[in-house]
Amino acid sequence: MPNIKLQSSDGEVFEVDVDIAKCSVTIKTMLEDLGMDEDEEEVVPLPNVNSAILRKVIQWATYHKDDPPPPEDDENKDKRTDDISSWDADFLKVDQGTLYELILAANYLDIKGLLEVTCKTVANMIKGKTPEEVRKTFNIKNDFSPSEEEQVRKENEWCEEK
Amino acid sequence: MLQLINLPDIVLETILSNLTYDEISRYRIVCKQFDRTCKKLLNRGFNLMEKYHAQCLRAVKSQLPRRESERRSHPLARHCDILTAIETRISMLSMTFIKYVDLNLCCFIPGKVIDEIFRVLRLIRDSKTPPRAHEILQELRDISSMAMEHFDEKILPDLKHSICTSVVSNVGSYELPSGSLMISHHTTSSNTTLPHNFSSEKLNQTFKKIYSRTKKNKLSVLSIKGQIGKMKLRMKRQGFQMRLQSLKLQEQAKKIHDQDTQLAEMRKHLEEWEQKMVDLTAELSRAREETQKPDSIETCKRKHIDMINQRDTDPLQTKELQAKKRKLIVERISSNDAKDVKFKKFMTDLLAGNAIETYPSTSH
Repeated sequence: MPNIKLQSSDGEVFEVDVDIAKCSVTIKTMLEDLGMDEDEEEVVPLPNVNSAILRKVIQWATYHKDDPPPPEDDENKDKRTDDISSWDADFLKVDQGTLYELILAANYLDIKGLLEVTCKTVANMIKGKTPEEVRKTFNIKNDFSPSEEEQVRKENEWCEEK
Repeated sequence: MLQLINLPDIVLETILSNLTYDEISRYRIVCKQFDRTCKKLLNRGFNLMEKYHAQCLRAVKSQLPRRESERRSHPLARHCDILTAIETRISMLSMTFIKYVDLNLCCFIPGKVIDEIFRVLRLIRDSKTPPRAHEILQELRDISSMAMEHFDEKILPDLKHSICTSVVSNVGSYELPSGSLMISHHTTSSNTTLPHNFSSEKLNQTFKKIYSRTKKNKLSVLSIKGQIGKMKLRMKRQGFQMRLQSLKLQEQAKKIHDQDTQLAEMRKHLEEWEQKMVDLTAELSRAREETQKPDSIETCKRKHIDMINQRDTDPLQTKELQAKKRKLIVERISSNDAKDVKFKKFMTDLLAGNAIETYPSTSH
């Protein structure tokens, strides 16, 4: 199995199977475009990902390396957030910061499956909460002026239970 | 620590797009960034739903038979009914909201309606015998009507008010003819001046155009006036010539009349002459008849004899006359004596008397 060396933003080098690395569309495209020799000792720098996150990403990719390719994007399919596998759920039992970093890394490396599952996890954290609870959970400041807030409230009034 | 709110917009969009549209609409109120992202997602959701519906309807219609009677009994007939009913709903929603969405004045507010339409579309896509149209569409009808009524009654007046005030504050007392124009002045201050400038520029251009056109019209009117003057002059000349011509004609007619009368006179004369000729020929023929008679020879002879006699007497008389003339020539020697004058007178009297006496004698 040919390996590829990935270097995190803090300088740590990870040697991974090329097939695993190719979970990332960014790396896959890069390898295809540059035609890197397999025996080359070239290191691929990933300046947007630190070592902790890169390790997690590699862990996730290794676990999912045999997954069937994700189905074509169907914008019309029912949105589901309750279909996270238990492994993924356990894997993502991390603090919010790490979760967001994972999301950013998945976005940067273009790993669709990881991005989906992380975003779903965040979405699940939002679901079922009131706006005020959401603000509390994610440490968000309500930056609306009273009149702006009133406007949004009024627009959504139509379906409120009376 | 990294916060949810610090994530890039695209990431927040991906996260929130996992929620239902109803939830998305309800979380707008969390903060401004949530509001922006949710509005975008709602508008996109409406477009996606419209597209998905069109796709479903096309798929069903392509499978239906062309004839109306066969279509009614086809297993997909109910699918088609439901999809058509949804189409009406979508167009009503579109008419209510999309104009203001396009103007960036609001978003497609009722996320719940998008969810409901997606639910119905998926249900009829997946089931071979969907429930009757009115059953499956009951909820959609209710909530979409509620949303539209609420928008028309509660939201739109405020929107219009804000549009008007923004226009008044930006344009002053400038009166705009229609609401749609006013709306274009809304949004941000950088945008407000642009359409106004544009419209005034346009107005200026049209004014210029109108001005140049009136100029052109004036010029053409002037040239036409000149032409009319020329034509009038020519008409006058023509009229004068016409009068001259008619005078000449009258003269000619008079001449012709005169000539006619002359001709008539001449003809009359000719006829008289002809009559005379006829009389003469008649006389001539009578005379010929007379000469051809036997006794006419004697008369002829007599005439002949007479003629000869006349010839015989004539030389005698001429001799006498000649003598007298000679005498006169002799006496013509001029003298102023009284005797001579007396004599002359006597002679001339005598000659005159002789001539008168002798001439009648010769004719007989």
